Amino acid sequence: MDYIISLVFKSLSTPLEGQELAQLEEWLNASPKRRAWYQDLQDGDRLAAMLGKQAPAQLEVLESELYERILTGTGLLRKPRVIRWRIWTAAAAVMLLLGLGTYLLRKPSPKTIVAVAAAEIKPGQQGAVLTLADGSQVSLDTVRNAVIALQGGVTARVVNGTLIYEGQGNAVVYNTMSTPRGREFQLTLPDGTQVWLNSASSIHYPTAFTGNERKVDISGEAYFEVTQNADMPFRVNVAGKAEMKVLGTHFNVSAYDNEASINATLLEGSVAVMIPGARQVVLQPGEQARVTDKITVIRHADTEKVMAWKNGFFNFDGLTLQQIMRQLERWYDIDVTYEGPVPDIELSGEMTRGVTLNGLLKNLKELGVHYKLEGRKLTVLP
Amino acid sequence: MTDNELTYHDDAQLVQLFRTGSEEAFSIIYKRLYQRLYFFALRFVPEMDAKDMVAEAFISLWQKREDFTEFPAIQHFLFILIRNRCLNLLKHELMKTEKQAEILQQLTLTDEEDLDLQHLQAELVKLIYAEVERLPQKMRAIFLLSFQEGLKPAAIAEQLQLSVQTVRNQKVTALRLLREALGNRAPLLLLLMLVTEKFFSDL
Repeated sequence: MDYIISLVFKSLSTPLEGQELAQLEEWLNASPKRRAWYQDLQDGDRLAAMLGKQAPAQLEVLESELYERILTGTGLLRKPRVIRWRIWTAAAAVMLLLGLGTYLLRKPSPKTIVAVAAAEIKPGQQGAVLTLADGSQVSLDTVRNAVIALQGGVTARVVNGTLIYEGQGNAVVYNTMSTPRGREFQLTLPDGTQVWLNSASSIHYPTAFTGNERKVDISGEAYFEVTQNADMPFRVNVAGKAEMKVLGTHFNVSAYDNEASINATLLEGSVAVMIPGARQVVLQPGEQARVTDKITVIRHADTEKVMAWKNGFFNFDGLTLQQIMRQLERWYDIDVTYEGPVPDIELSGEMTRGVTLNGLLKNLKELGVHYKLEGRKLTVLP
Repeated sequence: MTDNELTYHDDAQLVQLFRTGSEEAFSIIYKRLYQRLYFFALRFVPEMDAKDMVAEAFISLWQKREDFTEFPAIQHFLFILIRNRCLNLLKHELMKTEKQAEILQQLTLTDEEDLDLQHLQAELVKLIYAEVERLPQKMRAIFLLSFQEGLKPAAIAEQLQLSVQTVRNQKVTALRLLREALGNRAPLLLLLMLVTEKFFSDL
């Protein structure tokens, strides 16, 4: 079938000859519908119409829009909440309820300058770099299943896109997994603890847990589901600024350098958060510790918002435009600057993270955010 | 053909995963089929209805997932569902214009082969856009702005900050490149000329 397509493609510009011509003719002769379809393609206007309607950029928007509706209709979308945005007109509201709006055949408004390359900025995907104890690095971007390394009796394997450590090692050997911007990955530590790493993050850990505690270091953002082991408490060192002691628990840590605070949010279990020179704080499920030079506890954290990334969504509730842009920077690997004062726009609601940057920006444009996109540089206009 | 990275060895396994409730398998099936189904429906009904039908068809598919053991059966199910919805919609239109009657007639003559051809067309369009990526930058920009963004020549000239004269010159360059390219058998330039003949002449 691929071969037929390549023949048709070629035939659109240069007449086929010899065997290729015979093969195409044979295929066309097999059915009158095929012949009619092929004739249609010869019509320049019709071909042009096809190219317009099925352009890659429009397809991506269509694909996500429909899928979002499907997820909602099947109940697979876990949140029954309808997507809502605070700044909207009635018409925009209807569009947004459908997901991403009907951008399929619209012409862009003259205000927004859309660089041709915008269509190519895809959302983040699975990928990471694993640094072994000897310093060698392995890219996990396109690996679904593979044996990565054998170090001191412990095997690191990628199984269905998750890095899993197996075996009983004796030597204390450290690995680091890091995600660049535009990537995310999962790993299972030697004790069975599962870790989800967001973009621009890293985790440093031993290939085997020996001794009387399990200790890892992280930067960026990670969500943990820690296996129970009262004899070996789990400790997380966060970017060298705070520490968390954990007993069999589910929690999320967000520690990006360019954000205002380190946020540790507990979903289940128990976590103690410590910084040098202050009393430790023990969190209850649903609470969030915000760490700056002190620790502030939020009693009823919006855990759905905190967990949105791990579940494949953006949740912009109550975030400033700058905070939103920083998330986009990490997920799409772009750089955002502001021309003039930062627009004072507050948004709420959720959106799938799987949409291209183009699709998401078009949505923001509807809400009054003006921008200019050149390659990977996004400039927000006043 | 690009596919997602779920590990499965063949369609049988994909369908098996799907029927036991794997959302990831469902999303792969969706990504493979939605385009041909949507553009098939679009031939007969307006955009909003086409989108409704496709979304609802996949929702039904999910609800009946346990009924399927093979991939062709899935495509068949979706196709029949959508085709019937199109038929119903067209039959119940109160004001039947001649055009609508003609469309209805065409629809009654369709079968799954139309869906397969729709898929072939989608693949062809992908190939064309892939070639577009290889064009020199200005030509690529003109092509994409014309087709993907639907801009008229004057608007393109403004956006790319080219004078209309430059855009005309691009035509001359394109023609020259074309003549050279014919020697190298670069298919797309000819195609570009074919479909943008009208566009350039509108300047």
